[in-house]
Amino acid sequence: MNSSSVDLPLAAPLIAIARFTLLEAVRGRVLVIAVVLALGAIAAAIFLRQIAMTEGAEIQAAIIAAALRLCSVFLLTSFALASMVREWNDKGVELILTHPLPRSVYVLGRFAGFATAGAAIAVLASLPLLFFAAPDRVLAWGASLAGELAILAAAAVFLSLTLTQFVGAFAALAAFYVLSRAMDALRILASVGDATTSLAEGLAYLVVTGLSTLLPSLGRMTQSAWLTDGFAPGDLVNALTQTVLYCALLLAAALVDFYRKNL
Amino acid sequence: MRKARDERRWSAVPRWVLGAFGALLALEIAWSATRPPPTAHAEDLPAPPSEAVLRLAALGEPVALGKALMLWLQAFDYQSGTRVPFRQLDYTRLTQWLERILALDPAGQYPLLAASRLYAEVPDPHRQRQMLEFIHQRFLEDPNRRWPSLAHATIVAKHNLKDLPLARRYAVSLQKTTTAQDVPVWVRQMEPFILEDMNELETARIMIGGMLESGQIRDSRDADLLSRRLKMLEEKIKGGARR
Repeated sequence: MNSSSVDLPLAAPLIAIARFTLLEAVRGRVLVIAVVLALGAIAAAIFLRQIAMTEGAEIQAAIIAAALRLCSVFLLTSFALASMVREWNDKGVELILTHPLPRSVYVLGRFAGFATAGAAIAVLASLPLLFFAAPDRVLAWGASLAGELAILAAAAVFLSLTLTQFVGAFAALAAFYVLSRAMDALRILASVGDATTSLAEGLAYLVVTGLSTLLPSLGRMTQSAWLTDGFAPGDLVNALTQTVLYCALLLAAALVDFYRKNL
Repeated sequence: MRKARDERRWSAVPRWVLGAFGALLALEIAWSATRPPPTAHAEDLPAPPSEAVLRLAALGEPVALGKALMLWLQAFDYQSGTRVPFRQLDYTRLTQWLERILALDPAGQYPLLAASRLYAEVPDPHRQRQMLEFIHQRFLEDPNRRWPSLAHATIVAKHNLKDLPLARRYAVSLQKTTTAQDVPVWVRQMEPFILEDMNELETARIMIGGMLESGQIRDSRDADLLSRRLKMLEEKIKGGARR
């Protein structure tokens, strides 16, 4: 029987690829590192409480949340990029593609595995914050962090397939993340102008505005202020909508590039 | 059974390599021991960056950056083991930093609390006035949230600076601009007591009478306290008239 005529349900291999990706995260101690980060956050919070004169819980929540967010992003993106690049260099991708599966199954399966690992990291990062903020606020923050990590997982899949080198992909992902988080402040800086605005300033404004239409607004997700001052339901809805939209867009870009690769 | 390791024995390392490593390690330790210890010197408070730059550096987390900056600013008097008294800080730069931090974290109480409880209590009247005026200006931007700091500033003006007209100005601001229901009644009642200290007994009597008549005093204990105060004022005024 010709194996190419066998119809495999696509969900099964997709789930298998996702499962092995998650297993790689577990065996690579990624979740252990997330637990260590959470414990470190608690220790740092105790120190902060000692030096804060007032608003102790708010200071702990805000500073620890910002630090946990950054560490979670670094942990997931470095794991995702390293895993994708290693598999590319070891020709693991070509081995998988010898199976009668669409290339999209590989991309989506890897993304599903990274996004699941990201959700697990988000849960572990949220747990220490329960000591300093209300549970509903921590839940919203954690859900938004899971969304942010999913967007970055999709970006990591796209960049690693396009650039296939760890350093280049990491630099591109770091630039993507920093610009996405700082975009609101950049737009404010670029928009300050009057009749004496120069050509260079006008051009800068156009570039920044153009970038802002393409990049996700990560500065409006996973805000420490949600823990200290509360959040509006619309904030969370926007964060989750942005997650779905940008994950789909980045994965579509990854698929376009991956299908064009001559393997 | 010992687990096989993917390493050679120590004897596989050439002796000259081991010797060089040991000698270099000893040299490094000896060199570190001869380095002079670090000396502490207090630095001046730097001028703060603009709000736009701070927002850019915050990477979308202005509240967290604001709180972290407040901890740094508060600890600025402790530098490398030396203590810099608050009164030696450049208060113009200090208020600029507090303004920036408030811009990043408008809901935070820490900057104004530090302003009223730490920086306004230095034994330097010029610096005290500068800080109290800063508190007053910031209070006017959000009176229903920032009243505690101005209430403390009023007390500092009255008892530390002994400047009753200044204390009265702050008390009037508190009375006229705080409208939230959860603001304690005593916050809006400071002016009559200051007027009494200023010997403006008649004005104080009219104010307290007006408060009681208007019905804004809902708590019976507060109403009793003010009624007793009103009677004391009336007796003082009568006693003064007889003389």
